[in-house]
Amino acid sequence: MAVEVEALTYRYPGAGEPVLRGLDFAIAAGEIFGFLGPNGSGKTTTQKLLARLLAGYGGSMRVFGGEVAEQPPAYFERIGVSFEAPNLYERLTARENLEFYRGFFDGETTGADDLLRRLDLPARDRRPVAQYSKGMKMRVVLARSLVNQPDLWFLDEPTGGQDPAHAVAIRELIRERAAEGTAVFLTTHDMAVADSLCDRVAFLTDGGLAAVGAPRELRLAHRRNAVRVEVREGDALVAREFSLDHSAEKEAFLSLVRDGPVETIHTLEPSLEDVFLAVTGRRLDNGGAA
Amino acid sequence: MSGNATGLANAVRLAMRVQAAARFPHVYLGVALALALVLRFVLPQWRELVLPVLLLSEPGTLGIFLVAAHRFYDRNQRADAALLVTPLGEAAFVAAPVLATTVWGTAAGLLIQGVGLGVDERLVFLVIPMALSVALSGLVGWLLAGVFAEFTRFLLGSAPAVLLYSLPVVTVVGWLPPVALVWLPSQWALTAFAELTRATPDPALLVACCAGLAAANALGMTLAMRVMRARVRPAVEVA
Repeated sequence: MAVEVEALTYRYPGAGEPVLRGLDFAIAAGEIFGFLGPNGSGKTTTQKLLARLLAGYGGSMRVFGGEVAEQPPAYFERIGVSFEAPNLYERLTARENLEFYRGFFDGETTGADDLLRRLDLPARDRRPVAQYSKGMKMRVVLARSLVNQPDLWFLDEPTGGQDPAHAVAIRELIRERAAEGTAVFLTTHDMAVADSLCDRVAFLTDGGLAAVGAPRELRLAHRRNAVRVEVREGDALVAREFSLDHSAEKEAFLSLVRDGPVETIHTLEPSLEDVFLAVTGRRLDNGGAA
Repeated sequence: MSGNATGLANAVRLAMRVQAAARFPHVYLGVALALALVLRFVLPQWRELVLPVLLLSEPGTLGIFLVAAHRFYDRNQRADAALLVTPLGEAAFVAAPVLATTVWGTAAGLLIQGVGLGVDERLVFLVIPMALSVALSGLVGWLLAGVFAEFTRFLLGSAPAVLLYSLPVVTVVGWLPPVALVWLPSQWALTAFAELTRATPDPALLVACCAGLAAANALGMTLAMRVMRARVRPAVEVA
């Protein structure tokens, strides 16, 4: 396992209540692990602890077989962190931002030009990044996190601020890196990204994990075995639901399909957002109660 | 070079580039040149009295504000978070902006003395006390920026530090004897600068002043590392 977290707790100095209350999860090499939760649930704290920006946790956090608190500086040779905010030196060019960053690593690195091209950014641009759009800045941040070819890659809203074409390209890049063996710790509010990209997701609320599993498994576990049919009745479009667990309703559904003016048929499989709501009782987008 | 030394050298280059992009050296060297030109028009007997004061106050005081400005700039752009997830290390993280400012500040000091007093071997001897003096003021600026989270609070908090740093000036105008401030590191810097305006400086006194400034820098670095661990690293924003 690339990451093994057991009974992780953390309380900010001076705070009354712990922000993390006994988290347990593991991430394998090559796995894309989604960490989902509303604002204030403890996602950022967990990421800061794993990135050694915070110290003094309870429980155990082992990365690459060693306890995070005891990792030497060489630990950072193996991790890459792409932040949610575009935290760049705005007066410097994208290339300068990447090349200076590259100079901090002793191990094998990837050149700025290659990374910028890979993320559809101009390699020899003389403009400071202050003149870039938010989407371009975020791609520079993403490129910077790959400079040291990390084995564990932290991504926070990696497709935030991107147009659809670049969002697709970034998702492909993440899959590509995972296929090469990089463990990916992905924090996002975007359920569509989590559903399409993650091998497994964890739902975090109030400092505890409410569920961990593959998106498909979670959806199937909370599905209603039913279909919704839209039929035309005169000028009106009427929606009807049929449970497939009851033979009478199943027969009525089949009869309607055979004889009725059916316009659409949908299974009532829940979205990942629906599962999150069912498991935690909260919505993901605003952190508020459902 | 070891990995740490390579990382520190790279961090200093980055800090110098960031400061150059923010026009720090332009400010430093511009003010220094203006002071040096004014010094040219001062009577020779006054020049030797005024020069140490200028060397103490201009590069030193600016060092406090420019290093603090660098810290606030890094913090506002959240660029510090990116540096702290590299193998760079905390000591290099603290030292890089201080050393970058030391380069500009030392150059400013040399410019003031070179233009104001003329170029001779004393200019070479000025490098060490000048660099130690600017580094110390830079560490003070770093500490204050680490302790005060907001720039307005920093400005209030820095006033006593700047006054204390500049206090040895009163010994030049005769309000206090130099011995009364012998405990103050900036007094050691002023003594070294004054010594270097003489035709034949006292080497023993210069070495003693530089040793004292080096010790003060070591203490400042120790305090800065404590502030780094207790306040700066935990407060780094990632989102």
